This record gives sequence, C-alpha cells and structure tokens, in this order.
Amino acid sequence: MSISIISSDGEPFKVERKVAERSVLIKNMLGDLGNDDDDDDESFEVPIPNVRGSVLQKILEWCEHHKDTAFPDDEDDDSRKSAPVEEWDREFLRVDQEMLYEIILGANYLNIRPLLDAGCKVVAEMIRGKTPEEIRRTFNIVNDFSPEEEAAIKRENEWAEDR
Amino acid sequence: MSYKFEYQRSTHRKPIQAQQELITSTDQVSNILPFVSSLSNRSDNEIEGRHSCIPRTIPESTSQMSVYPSSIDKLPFEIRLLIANELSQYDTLSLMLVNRAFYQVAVIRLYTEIIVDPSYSYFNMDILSAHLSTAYRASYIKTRYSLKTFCKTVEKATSAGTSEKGIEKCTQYASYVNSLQVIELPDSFDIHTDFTVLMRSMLKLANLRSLYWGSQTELTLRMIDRIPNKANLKSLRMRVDLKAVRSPSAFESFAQFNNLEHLSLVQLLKSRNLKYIFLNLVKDGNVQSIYKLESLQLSMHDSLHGFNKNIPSSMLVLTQFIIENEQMKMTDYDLDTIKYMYEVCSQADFILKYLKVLSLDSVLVSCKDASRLHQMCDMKQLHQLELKNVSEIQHIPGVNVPISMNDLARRLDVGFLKILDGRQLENVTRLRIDYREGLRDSVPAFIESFNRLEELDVTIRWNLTKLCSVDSWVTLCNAYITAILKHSGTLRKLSLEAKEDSVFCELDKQFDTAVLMKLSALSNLESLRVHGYSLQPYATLLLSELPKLKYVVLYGSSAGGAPHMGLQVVHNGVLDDWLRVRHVASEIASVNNNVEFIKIDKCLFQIKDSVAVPRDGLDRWFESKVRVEMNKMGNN
Repeated sequence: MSISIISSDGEPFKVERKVAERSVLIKNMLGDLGNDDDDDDESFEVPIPNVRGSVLQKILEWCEHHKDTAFPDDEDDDSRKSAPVEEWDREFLRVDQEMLYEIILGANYLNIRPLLDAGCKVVAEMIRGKTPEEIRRTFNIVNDFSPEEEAAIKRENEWAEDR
Repeated sequence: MSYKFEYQRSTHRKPIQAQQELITSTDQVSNILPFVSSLSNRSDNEIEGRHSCIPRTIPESTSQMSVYPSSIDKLPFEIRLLIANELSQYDTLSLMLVNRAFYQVAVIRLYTEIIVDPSYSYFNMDILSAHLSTAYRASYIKTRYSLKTFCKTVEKATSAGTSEKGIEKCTQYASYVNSLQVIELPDSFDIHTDFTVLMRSMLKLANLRSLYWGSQTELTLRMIDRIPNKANLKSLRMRVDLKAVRSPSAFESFAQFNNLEHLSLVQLLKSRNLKYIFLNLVKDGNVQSIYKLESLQLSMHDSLHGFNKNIPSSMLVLTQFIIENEQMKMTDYDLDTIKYMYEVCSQADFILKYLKVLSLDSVLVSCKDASRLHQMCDMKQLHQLELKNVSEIQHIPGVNVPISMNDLARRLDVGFLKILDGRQLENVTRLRIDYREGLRDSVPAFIESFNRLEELDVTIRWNLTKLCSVDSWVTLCNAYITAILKHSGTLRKLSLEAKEDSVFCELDKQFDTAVLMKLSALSNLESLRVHGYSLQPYATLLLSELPKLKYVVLYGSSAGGAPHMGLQVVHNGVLDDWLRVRHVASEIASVNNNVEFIKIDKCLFQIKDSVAVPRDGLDRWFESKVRVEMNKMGNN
C-alpha cells in the first residue's frame, strides 16, 4: 500500500506506510480505515491542511530516517525526558528559526512526539545560559513589560535563584 | 535582526520601536558594521532578520508573518510550555523576563513542582538532568531565606497576570503549585516562627495534588488538617508526628482525602493510629478514597533514622512458658497492623485491586497476616514489594514447660513468607526484603519462589537461634546466593547486606568471600551493592566479570581497606575521606570500563575517562539507583 500525503499547498508526497506511521495522527487515520498492508495496489491520499510542502518534505525526511528507530514509550516520561538530542537529529534541525518552528508545529499537528521533543530541546538550548536581553535578541522579541513589572517579577521570583 | 541590535548596542539606548524605524534594511546595517558577519550567532540572526524583513516582498509564503513582530510568537502556548519544561529553573527565570507570552509559560514551569532540599546542588545538575525527569521540571529551594521568600510570593497575585484582552486576571502564584516536596527543611529553619509562615502559605496551595514531607521535623495532624482541597490530593506521602495524639477524633481530617492514589505514612508508632486513619478514609462507606490506591507505604518506625528498638531475636518465638517467665507482656507486641487494615477493608467490602507498590517498615507479622494481605489486595497486580525490618512473631500454643530450641523449631507454623508465596505475586519484579525471624530462615525459599526478579534488595538477618535449622552462617549465605542466582537471567540490581542482631545495635556481618564470588554469574547486573570488607582483596576480580555493571557500592567502614593510622590528621580536609579510598575506585574503574559510579563506604566517585572524580551531594539520587526503595527521589 502506498500513501500519498498532500501538503497545504497541494504538493503530494508518496511514502511507504511505515514512514507515514511515524505520525500517530496518520497511523490512527489508517487504523480507522482498517486496512491490511498486504494489498499493494491500493493507495491512499492523506491531506494535511496545516503543513506547507517544504516543511512536510523535511518532516518526511526525518520519518524516513527514523522509520526503524524504536523510541521510548510515550508513557515513560523518565527515559524520554532525559534522552539528549541525537546527533543526526541535531544536524537535521540545523535550519533557520522559521523552518524550525514550522517543523515543531508540524510535528505537533502530525503527532510525532520524538521530533516534537527534539525540536523543543533545540529551542531550549538556544535559550540556555542567556540573559533576558540576550534571549530577546536571539529570537527578536520585543519587551512588553514596564520597568515596574520587571522589577516586581524579579523580586517575587528571587527564591528560584537559589543555587 | 542582529544587525539592528548590534547597531543599537553601539548607540545610546532608545526604545526598540524607534530603533526599528531607524533602520529599514539589513544591507544598510551591514554597510555600517561590516564586522557583524564574524559573530558566532550570525547564522541564526541572519535568518531571523531575513524572515522578519521579507514578508513585505513575498507576502504569499509568509503572509502570517507580518502580523507577528517575531516568528517565535507563532508557537502556541502548549509548545512554548514544552520548551520551558526543558529549562533549568535559572534559565526559566531569564525566560520569565523576556515578555508576557513567555512569562505565562515560565510561571507554570517554575511553580508546578517545588522541592525543598538543602542538599541540592547546581553543580550536580549534569548528573541529575541526565538521569531524572524531575530535575528539569522541578524548582529547588535550598536555603531558609529562599524558602521564606517563596512563602511570601506564594500568597501574592502574579505580576503580569493581565491577559491579552486587558482583563486583569488575578492568578495567585500559589494556584500553580501542583506538587510540594519537602525532603528536608533548610539549615537554621526555625520550627516556631518559620513554620507558621510555611503553613500559612500551604493554606493557599489550592491546586496541590502531591505532597511529600520527608523532613525529620514531622508534620502534625493539625497541619494536615489545614491542607486546602483535600479531595484534589492524589499523592500524600509524609512523616507524621503522632507522639502526642490521644483521641481518635484527631484523625478526622483524613475523611476528606477522597482521591488518593499514593499513600505513605511514616512513623505511625502504633497500629491503632493506622486503624483510625483507615477508618476515617472509608468513613460513611466512602471507599472511593483508598480504593484507587496504587502505592501504599506504612512504617511504624523509620528503620533508617532514629532510634528504634527491635524485639530481641530470642523473643520472636513465644510460648506460654516464656511469656509467664520473662519480664514481658503480650501487649508489648503490636501485632495488629495488617489485621486492622484487613478489618477495615472487609467491613467496607472492597479490595485494593490497583495496588502496585506495597511497602511495610518495622511491622510485626504472623502467619495469618499473609492470607489477610491476599484477601485485602489483588496481589497479582503488585509490581514492587518491600518488607523492611519486618519481624515474624510465632506464638506456639500449648507449651507450658521449658523445651529445647530444637523442639521448638519443629513446632513452628509454615510462616508468613510461605503463605505470601512469590508464585502468587506473579508480577512482582522488584523486591526488598529485610526479614527477622527466630529459629529458622525462610527468606531464601521466598526469593526462589518468584517468577522473575529484576531488582532485589536483601538484608540477611543473622541470629544464633537460626543454628537450630541451618548448619552455619556460610551454609545460610550459600542458600541465599543459590536463591538469588535463580534470577540471574533477569536481575539488574542487587543489594546484598547482612546484619547481626546485638543487644544495642545492629552490626554488619561479614560474608565469606568465596560465597560472594559466585555473584559473578549475574551477567545482567547493572547495579551491585555488597559488603566491601568481605570482598577484599578480590573486589576487582568479581567486578571485572560483570560486563553490564554501571553502579557499584562497597559499603561498610572498612570497604576501602583497613584504616591507615598514619593518615589521620587533626583537622580533616573536605575531601580527605575520598582521597583515602580513591585508589579502590580507580582500580575498579581500570578493570571494568562500563562502571559509571562507585561508592566506597560514604564516598561517591564518578568515573570520567577512567578517572575517579569525587562527587558530593548526590547520595539520595545514588541510593535510588542501587537500592529498591519507593519515592526516594520523590518520583511517583
């Protein structure tokens, strides 16, 4: 069985079932259809209205690479959390911020937990060790606090500075 | 964008809006500052800059972009929360001050899980974050000052509580706190004045779902009464102060805990206290409260802390003659712990069918209690069983004359462990057993009766009366080892300890080295804890034969060899203890490349590139790695 995934801008991507099923969303859709994968002639179209073609291509590239990877159980928060980002994933996610966010959003929509986690970890690494001002500069964020608010937040959460 | 900000940095500070108007194209800036291309974070910022400038020229592809000042703003709340949850509390503090959108998620990250632990150290974050999911999710408080500031803040409304539409949302910081763990109170914490402050802020924790109180300063019943929204609480694990409790009415607040899944009561002192707590939990036929229990830990005394006097081993088997002739009363024996629980369950007509973890500490049991346990819980669901310092009392009826110990041994009933029967506990993979009995030892047979154990924590209790049924100490050890080796295919964790009862204290009993060497057959072992002195000088030999071993503990005061008198100094250096035994750790590391952590008596070493590096403040974490113990790190 071949599956054709169609992006928001109408671009079709033909992938094998195993690759598509990295996405729990697609897996559940296919499961609902109740198909056996013996039948090679059938093909399915899965429209993904929330993800652009270029992003979808990137995500499917990830699914292809990880089609045989055994990821720790979703329930097992401990092992999932503590795992550092794999070298291949890190290299894969070395894209511009815009693309990174869209991959994260896409992984969230398609329900690909390991990719979502890796994406979030990469963003977290960009934040780590920076001052608020540096974070704003990295992500081009405008400060919308008044100086009084800023001071109050600093004062109230001072306890967390405890090293 | 970096160009703009680089530019901004080199001029006087102006509002960002003005800055953005000032510079219209990136080309312009790079003309002014040609060196910016050499910045380390150039690529990120270059791309960032391109995206925020491009929308006007190519509106089709990134049409949404022009609405947002920054592209990270389009990440929804839940994803930003995922990102914040990957940060330490210190990075979260910085994130908090970035803007309102990040403030909202940072507050949640910072306040959801609070751990008060004076031994926490930022310098151990590398290890904790790699091994523990809670390390990055929780916020730690270690000093008295911080705890007091936290208490003050918790009573306040959040500073940036305004929502997008400008409606003032007065959310209290307290409402974010889901879990509070007091592992120990900070140094110099004042029981009288600071405690009231802490308690006052606890009153505000309306969304508390999990409370852990492990401090040596016990929680009194009056404080438990003050926990708001008791029905919210899923996990209640605490050391309680019941010393002064006289009347059953003191336990009434327990009737309000209606949704408990984890219950742990340490230092109950008397079975009667447990009875009243249970009676209140199921008050008015409300079995909902404990029906869903997944883990239950009951400890009459804390066998690890404080002085608690066990019944001497010679008094574990009783006859009418002994009772009449010794200075003792049957009422000294608190035999009803399991019986009371059983009675409450059977009267309210329910069984604990979801129970996965059961832990009993310093409890007296008899043969009948095993069948009671089988009737009140669905023992097939059990995954973890802990019997810590559990003593079996045998009361042999109809003996009014003195008879020999050997005769007495023949009249014993089958015993608690035989009825409990590992074969019926088919899902138990983690077992901790520290079991005292007189005249015989039924533990090896019990260990052998299990299907498959993955984690095993055994304390062998030796007393002279056991010579009635075993030939010698070595024979008994061999029986234990044979039972343990039955699980060699599955066993990942083993802690093997031996204690000899003495009148005033427990002494470490030495093992026969040849017996311990048999452990080399446990090829799947990842963690091993054994008596160090017993292994000398063969520790390296044994440890080199365990290919998967990651954690090693050699406990006991002479684990690193007999003390060298010449090395004692008047004023101890901080790492003196570590340096004295470091060669042992280095030697182990040199024969087994897989080993990550080695603890020699009280000194923990991390092996980094085959160098033994002393580590401090990780004891609690390491304990959870090498022993079978629930909730040591506060993981549910």
